[in-house]
Amino acid sequence: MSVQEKLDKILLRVEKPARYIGGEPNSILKETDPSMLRWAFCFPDMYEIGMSFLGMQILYFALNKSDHIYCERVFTPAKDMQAEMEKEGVPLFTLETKTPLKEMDIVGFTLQYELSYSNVLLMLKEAGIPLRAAERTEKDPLIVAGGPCAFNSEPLAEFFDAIMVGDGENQIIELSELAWKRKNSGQSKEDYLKELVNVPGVYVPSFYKPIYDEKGRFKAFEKLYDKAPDRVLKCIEPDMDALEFPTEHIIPLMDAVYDRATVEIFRGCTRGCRFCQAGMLYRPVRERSIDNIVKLAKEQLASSGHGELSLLSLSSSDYSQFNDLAMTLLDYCSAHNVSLSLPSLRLDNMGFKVMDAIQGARKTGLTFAVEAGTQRLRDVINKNVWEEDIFKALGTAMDLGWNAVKLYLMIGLPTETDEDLDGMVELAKKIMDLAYSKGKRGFKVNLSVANFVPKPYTSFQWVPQDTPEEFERKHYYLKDHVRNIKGVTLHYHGSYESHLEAIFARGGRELSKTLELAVEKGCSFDSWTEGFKEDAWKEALAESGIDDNYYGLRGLELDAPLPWSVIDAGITEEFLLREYKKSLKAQTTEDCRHYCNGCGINRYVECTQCGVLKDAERTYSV
Amino acid sequence: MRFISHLDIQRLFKRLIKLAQIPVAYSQGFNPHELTNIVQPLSLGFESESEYFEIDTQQPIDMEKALEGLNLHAPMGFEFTGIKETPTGKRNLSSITAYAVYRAEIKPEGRTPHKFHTNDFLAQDKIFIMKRDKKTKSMVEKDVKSMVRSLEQKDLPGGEAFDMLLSCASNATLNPMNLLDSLYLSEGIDLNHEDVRITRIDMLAEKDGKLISAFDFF
Repeated sequence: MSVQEKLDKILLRVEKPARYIGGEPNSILKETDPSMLRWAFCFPDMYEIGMSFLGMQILYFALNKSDHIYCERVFTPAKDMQAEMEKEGVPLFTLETKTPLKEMDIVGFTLQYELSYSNVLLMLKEAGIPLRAAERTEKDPLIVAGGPCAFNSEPLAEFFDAIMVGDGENQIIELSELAWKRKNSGQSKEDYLKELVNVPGVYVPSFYKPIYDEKGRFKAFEKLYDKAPDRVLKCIEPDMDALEFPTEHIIPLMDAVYDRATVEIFRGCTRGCRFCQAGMLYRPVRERSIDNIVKLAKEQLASSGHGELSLLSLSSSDYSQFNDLAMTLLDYCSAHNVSLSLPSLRLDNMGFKVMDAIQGARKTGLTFAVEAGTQRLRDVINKNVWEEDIFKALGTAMDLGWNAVKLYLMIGLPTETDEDLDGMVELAKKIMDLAYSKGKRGFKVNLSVANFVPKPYTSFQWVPQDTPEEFERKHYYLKDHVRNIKGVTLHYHGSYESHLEAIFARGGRELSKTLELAVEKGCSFDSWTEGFKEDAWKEALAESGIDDNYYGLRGLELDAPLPWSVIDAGITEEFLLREYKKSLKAQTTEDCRHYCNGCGINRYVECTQCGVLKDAERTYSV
Repeated sequence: MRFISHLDIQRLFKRLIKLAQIPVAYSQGFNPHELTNIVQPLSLGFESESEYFEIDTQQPIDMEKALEGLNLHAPMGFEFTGIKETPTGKRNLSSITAYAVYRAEIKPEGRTPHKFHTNDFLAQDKIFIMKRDKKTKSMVEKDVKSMVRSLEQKDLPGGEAFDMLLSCASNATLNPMNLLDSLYLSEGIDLNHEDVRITRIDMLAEKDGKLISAFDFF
């Protein structure tokens, strides 16, 4: 039986078979020939999650522009599908041509979150590809990765041949062109990897060997190929308008999490929240021009038939010509029966005008990312939001007809005490009081509480994380205190999941064994509540000799060598340290559009937003 | 495309309408939605040569252009074969369809093809099928004799094939798989659904005492 015939039978037995069939409008079918470079772009999670990810669409179309490269998609099969595939002997295959991954030239993974690492290994296993780079032969596909977690890919470094760090649009083409040359010239893998070190932002882990001290702590890297750079600087694309951006997105044939047209309006963020990794990794701010954004939005809507348009960035209303952009798109969308969604809007007067116009009579989803319960702690994390602004915005929202608000909060932040938790409760109480004073009896406050995870390349990269037990104590503390406030609900995340996330976020290569063991014990889909196997993870950590208390909870010494330091994110360690020291004194730092804070990124690229606002009125973003 | 669910096909068709720039009419209210209707949705896993889809438009449209537009963007496996205007205010397609023609092909694994006594089966006073009760979720027996217009076995090398004409109306619909289960059981065979491929050939409406393709009704 061919793979297709087996699939015809399997697909009748599994949930949501549309996840595995491909053939969506705008997906690409090419006539293959043996000289072509065959790429499998893997998203290590379910189809409906991966298809909502814009980065995949960008890179898929960038790669497929070339006649001699054919990029196809692969997602993690759900557990029922995995079982059927194993039973029928069907290896993991690509959606477009149903080709087994083992027959591809490059298998690339996007690393979006730490809790998807087990799925990466699972997919390699399902494909029948040896996990470790050292065990693979010249005939096996090259296994590569990219994405935000590529900035500290050490826990996965043993499994990858090459890792792409930074902006990927051109970098991935360069890496692939060299691979195509290799395929058609019989170049050895080693020679290929040696050539790869010249591609901006490409890290070849096998050229670096970690050295540990007598206590097993990371000390330094020993370079095994002298022409490899001491530190790999992330790839920086200075001009967003010069980058490929697809307008004919693949239209999923089943419901994806986000099923809408999306245009990225800028990359980076100037606000400098100290817990935020994205705000550091994507520096500097680079804007797409307003004409280009509008053009891309129109083209995309025309080619996809989407009923919703969304703008993507870390903070929409920080776009320098936001008012013009919002108004232009609003007019276009209302004329074409398309709804517009603008995530992370700043709730000043303009913000409300836009929100009111977008939502009309339907007032749903108002979210404030206040992050902490007291002003002191908000100053520590440099979240420049003040209570009076929150209440001013909330008052306006209530007057305009909103009946519910969601607050994003975080527990376990550095210097946090129970007073800060009380502050969260107090905040919720005050919001309900305000609602009552306005006669809004049915008003709802939803507290969404995340557990703080220290991440590399942030000012908090050295700080310890709370223990899972401490997180749980805080969850119950909050639960007890909001229980009697009418209209307030509380949601929080799993504690051990956050603990694990911290281990992998700041871990080194010694964790590769742990990952292998965890996957052998059946761990996968760790970010899905029903998939998470806490006991199996604990066993895997113990059997691989990892003291998870040390890894998750350690406070690193400020001069300790950091395993991720082999990657240069463009910002200096001095800047991060300076910010950390200020945080301990609860001193805030200005948005870099007011004043250059010297993060160091302008050593490599022009920082167009530097100081542009000078002494203009300070704005807040919630 | 037989693995795409009804809801997903609905969403896909709404997309295609937008892409084809057909001025679809919207419902009134807080959440305006496109006024469209898929006639007698097909079960997941079935194929079809003839499905019907209705669109309310805001104004008369260029039908050739609309058909071209729909086909231009339709994914592999979908083809819009014809378009017709139905009189406004008249009964919609769902209410006029009465029967559907099905073809079933069974490639049995692990047993030899069988010749069924379909005439005896049809001559019973009552033809029972097992059906899941929507409320209690338990399997119940149901007499479907009045819903079977015809059932004939055809030749198929290495397998069994059937042509069926079954009720397919808004108030009475018979799933061909259920009928086959019943037929096979009557001769002591447990039908493995994975061996079965069912195709809907057309949907029929009654006009002047005759059955005609639903496409020709208006």
